[in-house]
Amino acid sequence: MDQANGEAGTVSVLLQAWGRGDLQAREELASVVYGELRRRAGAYLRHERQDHTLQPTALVHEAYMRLVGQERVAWQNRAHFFAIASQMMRRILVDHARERQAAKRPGAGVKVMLDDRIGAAAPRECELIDLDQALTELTHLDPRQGQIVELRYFGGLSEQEVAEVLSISRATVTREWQAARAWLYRRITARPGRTVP
Amino acid sequence: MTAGGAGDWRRVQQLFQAALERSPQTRSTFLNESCGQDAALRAEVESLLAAHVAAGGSFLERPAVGALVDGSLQRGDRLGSYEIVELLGAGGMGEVHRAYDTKLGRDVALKVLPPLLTTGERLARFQREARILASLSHPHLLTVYDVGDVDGRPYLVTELVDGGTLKTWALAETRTWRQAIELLAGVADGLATAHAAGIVHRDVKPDNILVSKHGYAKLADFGLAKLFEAQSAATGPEAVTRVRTEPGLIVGTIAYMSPEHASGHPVDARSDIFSFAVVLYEMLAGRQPFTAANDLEVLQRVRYQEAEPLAQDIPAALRAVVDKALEKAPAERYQSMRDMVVDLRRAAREEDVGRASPAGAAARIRSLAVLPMQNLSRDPGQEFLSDGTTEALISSLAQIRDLDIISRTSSMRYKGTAKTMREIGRELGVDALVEGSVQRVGRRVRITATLIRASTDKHLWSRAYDRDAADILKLEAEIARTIAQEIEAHLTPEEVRRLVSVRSISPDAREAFQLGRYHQVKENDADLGRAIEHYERAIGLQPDYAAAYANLSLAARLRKNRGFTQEEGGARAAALRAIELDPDLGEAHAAMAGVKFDDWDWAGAEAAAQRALELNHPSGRVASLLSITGRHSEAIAAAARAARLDPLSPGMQASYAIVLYFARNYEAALTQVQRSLDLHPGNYAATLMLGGIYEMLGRAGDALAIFDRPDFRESPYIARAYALLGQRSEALRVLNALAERQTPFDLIEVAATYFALGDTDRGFEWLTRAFDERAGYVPWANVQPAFDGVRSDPRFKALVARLKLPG
Repeated sequence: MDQANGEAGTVSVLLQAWGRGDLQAREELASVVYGELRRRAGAYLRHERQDHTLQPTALVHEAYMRLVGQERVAWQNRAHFFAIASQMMRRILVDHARERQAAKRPGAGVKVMLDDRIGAAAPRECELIDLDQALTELTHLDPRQGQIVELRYFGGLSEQEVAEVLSISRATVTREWQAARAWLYRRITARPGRTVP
Repeated sequence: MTAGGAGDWRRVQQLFQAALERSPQTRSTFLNESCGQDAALRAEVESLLAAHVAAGGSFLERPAVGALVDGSLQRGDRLGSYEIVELLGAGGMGEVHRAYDTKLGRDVALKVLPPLLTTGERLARFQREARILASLSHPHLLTVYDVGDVDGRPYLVTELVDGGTLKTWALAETRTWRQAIELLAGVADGLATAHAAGIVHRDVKPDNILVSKHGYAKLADFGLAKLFEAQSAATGPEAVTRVRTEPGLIVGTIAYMSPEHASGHPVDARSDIFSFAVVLYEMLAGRQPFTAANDLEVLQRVRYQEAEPLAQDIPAALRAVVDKALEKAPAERYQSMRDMVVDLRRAAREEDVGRASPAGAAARIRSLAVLPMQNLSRDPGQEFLSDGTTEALISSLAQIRDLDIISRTSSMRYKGTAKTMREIGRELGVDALVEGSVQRVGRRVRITATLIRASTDKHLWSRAYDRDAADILKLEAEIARTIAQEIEAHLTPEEVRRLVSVRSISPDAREAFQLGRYHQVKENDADLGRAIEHYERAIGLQPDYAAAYANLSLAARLRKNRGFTQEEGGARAAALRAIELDPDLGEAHAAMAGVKFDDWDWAGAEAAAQRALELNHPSGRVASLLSITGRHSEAIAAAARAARLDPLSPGMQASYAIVLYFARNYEAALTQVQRSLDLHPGNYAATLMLGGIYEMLGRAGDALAIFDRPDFRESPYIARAYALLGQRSEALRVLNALAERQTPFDLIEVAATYFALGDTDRGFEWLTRAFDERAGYVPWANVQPAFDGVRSDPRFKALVARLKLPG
């Protein structure tokens, strides 16, 4: 507990420093957040987590509670935290997918859901790694849309939270998300060897 | 080329958004105006719109880490008795794996659900509903086999459907309204059946309708949505606004939700009616009725906006059905799904007739029965001739896939009947009947035939023929063809070819053949012997008579399998010769299926039986083979169809019950076996089955009561009932007496009785003997419920291995 309180204090300080433009603080913060998320996500990914009552999608929120907790933090700093945490989640999950791919376990490719069904054979799927690559391309084209996807899909944030983090209206998030999703879907399904439905 | 720069992307995106906010019909005009001559821009926007639609409601909507964790089951992982084979797909309600049920030896679909915010009570209710649904054994409802949980994560085990969903079906190619109705009419019927049992689906949508490779649709995920609904979500309008911030509050897919569901009000069967109508609308129009740029607006449209009218080329009656089901107020809709099904069928039928004749008053005929042709010859001994013509008409018409023709056994029960056409039509459940007469005068044959609409007793067509007796086969085919034309049945080119290319058979050979059939259907030793003699004579007169060879094979096998002889009687050679002579003869392949079945060549038998079925020769063999190899839902579908086409045959009704029994669907089996006993009280096979079902339902006392009659009193069946009731000495007395007996008896049942007594070693001695002698139900050993207790015993595994079952 002491350690957690200590980290919480550190993270608040780092957030404030970064808020003032201290890029070194950002690096340190990223490293702390990465470590925390990796520990939490790892438990899920290695099937160790027994308390399935908590949704794994809440990981970023859990990390925030632990690292920042009840400390009073300016909302910009909170936004910064979620932005960096979503980015770190993306890195962790993509790395995990790469490891699994390298291990070449049968059926181990990490799937991104393209369809919803039960009992049916013949799935359509794509690799998380493909999505990561497509997202990088989208970010070049439209940085804000790239970030919306990162926050929502990797960070697990709700639309409202994304709107707060980016200081834009909820309606804008909805619109941009729709366009980004369509763009990514097209990009992924249009890759050689995949059929466009 | 696609727009590359950020500036272009902004423009593309604006147009994309603006187009999404317009109705699909006005989009094209809008894009014409906005893009002007810039074809590249327009193509870019259109491709993005297409991607938006294709991405559906699930792509990226669930955070990555969730998908990762859920996809964590690996090949070889075990959940209870299920072994994971591969991931089939994942969605908002969990991911689906192909798995192998090691206990029952079959492939299943296993869906791991997300951690639930649900109560044990709800899960129990879900399980209860799943059991009720399974007991309905409706061919268009996906069967849930099992519900369980591992580490607090519930999972669902269902039958496996090889294919896709309605969504992929609709995307695969352009579908006509007729195809859509044909595919979905069964699903509608299934939904109506579930409603009648008090079960509401709550999430009817294309993703939940599975379509097999053979174009057979099944409704899945009954009541699953209910499991995920948080308690608070069921009430209050604020639930609507919370739909998006807290996914999982109102569960269901917004575009297919009923207005009351979207408003957070309680839902009933009428909500399913609305959702089903949305699916129907989408399939007919190629677009959803309520679309908008975002979920909230979709919700608003669902609640307040009328759907755009369907196109004029869709029949008016059909549009009216959809409109009525899409009424906003539940009270204005159909009040029951059954009513909607009736209207749907009528609308589709009326359209068919409307196309056929401008009058368009009467419904199209899709099913008929050929009543026994009357024998007008002076010699009553010539009855086999008129029966032969009846059979020939039945089998010719049965070759037309577009028509349902009642099988021989049921038709023949109306010989000399005093019932009216209406009564018969109702009893057989057919639209029309054929009746007529046959008269043989020297070398001439006169045949009359009349087609009658069952519901009105109206004569639709009638004709008399007078031909050389040598041309009788051609004449029968011609009559079948004419009837098919009269009722405008759709004939494939292959079917036309087979009905036209009838060989000439000498009248004497044909007569011998018909005498053979006449004796064969009596199925006793002496008659089977005579049947074989007649077939041999027919072959002597007409050496290329394929049907005579096929029936020779069937009669010879029947004689051996009934225990009348040990001789194989040339069954194999005759079946081979029949196929050689006429590869398109369904009976020939059915005969071959029988021979291969006796060889325990399951793959060979199935291939032959399927070929027979393709040639529209009915065969109960297919259902048995599917049952033996554990593909129960397919077996049920096949047996149900055979039973429907032979509604008055006690044997065919009992066969369906047997298939249900091996599928462990005892409640449905009980209903079905009663149907068989109603037709033939005391029927031996059906009584056996009834006792077996009682025993599996824990009603051994009832089983004992029905086996307490002379022909069962010293049988292994009554012994097993004693054993299950704990009356050990009674059971052993019967078993000991059996061991001394010289005549054959059911060895499988003796083994089952010893297992019930806990004497496993003796049980295996008898079971081994049953395998050595290849006794009757040995091929079913692997699916036999009575053996569940010894299934994991290595001795059992070794015996079953001798069956060399596939997979």
